[in-house]
Amino acid sequence: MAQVEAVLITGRTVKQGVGLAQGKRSDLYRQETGCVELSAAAMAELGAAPGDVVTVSTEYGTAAFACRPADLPNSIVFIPYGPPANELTGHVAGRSGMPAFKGIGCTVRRDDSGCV
Amino acid sequence: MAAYEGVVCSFCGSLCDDITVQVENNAIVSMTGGCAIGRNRFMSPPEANVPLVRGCETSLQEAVDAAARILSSARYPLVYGLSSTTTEAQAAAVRLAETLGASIDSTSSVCHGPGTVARQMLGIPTCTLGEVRNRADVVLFWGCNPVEAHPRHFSRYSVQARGWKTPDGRRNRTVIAVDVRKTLTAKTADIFLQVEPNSDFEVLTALRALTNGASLEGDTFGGVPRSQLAQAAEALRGAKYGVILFGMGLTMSSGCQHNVYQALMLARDLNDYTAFAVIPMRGHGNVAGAEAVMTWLTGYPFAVNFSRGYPRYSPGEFSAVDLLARGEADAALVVASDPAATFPAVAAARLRQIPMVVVDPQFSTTAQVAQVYIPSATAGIAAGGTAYRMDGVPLPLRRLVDSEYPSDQRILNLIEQGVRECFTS
Repeated sequence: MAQVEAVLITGRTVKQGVGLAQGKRSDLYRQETGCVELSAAAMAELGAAPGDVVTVSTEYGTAAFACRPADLPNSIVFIPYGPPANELTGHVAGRSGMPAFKGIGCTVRRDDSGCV
Repeated sequence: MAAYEGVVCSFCGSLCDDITVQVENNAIVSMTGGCAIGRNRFMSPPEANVPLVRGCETSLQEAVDAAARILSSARYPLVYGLSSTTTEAQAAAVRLAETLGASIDSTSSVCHGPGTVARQMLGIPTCTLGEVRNRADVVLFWGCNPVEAHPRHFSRYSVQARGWKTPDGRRNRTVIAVDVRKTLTAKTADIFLQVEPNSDFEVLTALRALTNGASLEGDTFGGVPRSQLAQAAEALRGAKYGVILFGMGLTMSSGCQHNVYQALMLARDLNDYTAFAVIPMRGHGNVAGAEAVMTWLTGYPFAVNFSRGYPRYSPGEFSAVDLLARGEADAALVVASDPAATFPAVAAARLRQIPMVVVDPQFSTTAQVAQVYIPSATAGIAAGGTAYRMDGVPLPLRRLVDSEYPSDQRILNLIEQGVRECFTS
């Protein structure tokens, strides 16, 4: 199975914010927080097309996302804030209470199950 | 139909206060101004929710009584959230936490808390967003993406905004962006420094050195070529009035408060040459208010513990994620926040294990796993009060429509009254 080693960044997007305002059970919120952004090279390495399902794993957990291309360095993947992203983030002692939400090592694999 | 002008949108820390809202038959029917997120906030009222105890519909009073019993019988209760409600409700939450001997924390501990710790170490040269609009000719965005997170920040305050010393808006400004991603904000910048993840401290240190005329060995620093850093340093020193606007790219990356400390030191250095200010790009609408209220009532901005009868402060010890991840909190009151959806999995899992009371206009992910859910009137729409903008300016939130449920403040006062009765019975 093809896989890519990268660094995970989570953050805000406009669609995530609009979905938040519409309600966390809105289709927009669920769709946006269920996406992962990858560089074109990373998607090619995985053999993934936009909308394909990939799994992202960190030392804290694993979750499935629909992938989409973005203007990113090959070593970075980006996921909008939301419950799926938080399956991958972790509590790190000694960080003044701040969990690891950015800069986390991760592995991206193409998921042939097709389920997000 | 009634029209309300100068309405404040309390979704994000920009607190845009130029919105007009039309109300008819106790419902918002249209609005002008605001961003896409704000429009959805005003035009998407919460679903019709009801008080619940263990999933069963009940009265407000019975839900309050159940909340008081849960919180008063806990050995280590946690009060958390507070950033999307009014300062008046925040003050009520602090009083309740003191009555309970609880820990109280806001969403600050998972957003700009490390920046607040850095400000406590060093102080902060700061200004209002009005000064940014009227004076700033060099704007440095570090680890933030206002195009997506604060959609009107550019036009109202920092980039296209026209002011006294910036009559031509964007043409009067040099914009510098620093980020690990080429964000929509970075794409508008005159200078973009693309840093490697977790390298902000290194890049800030190198930038400070170049700003101060020191010599440096090496060609790249945290992935940024020396030539780009030198260009940025020259632009910063050439400012007539500069501002650093920083986001969670600094507070959440490796180094946390030390990254912000270096950014504050950069501003301190630059004030030897010109005028420079720093403003944190606060996310939630009233997270700045949560810090202000806790500071004036307890002396500390977040992560405060009352178990000894007086306030103690210890981020990393009394912050919500740490208390939950260590399995210490045995009951929780969550106000205007959704930690089950926003906390790391280990902390969210603990929340699902302990008895929890949620006060929120939305039947949130957290509310769905709570033993007690009490719907409240949405701050800034169905409940009035005060919120603090990201620059610390307090603004009034108006009640535009009536709600069948009380404000967060009223509910918290009722719960505190119930807790006191439990303690004396």
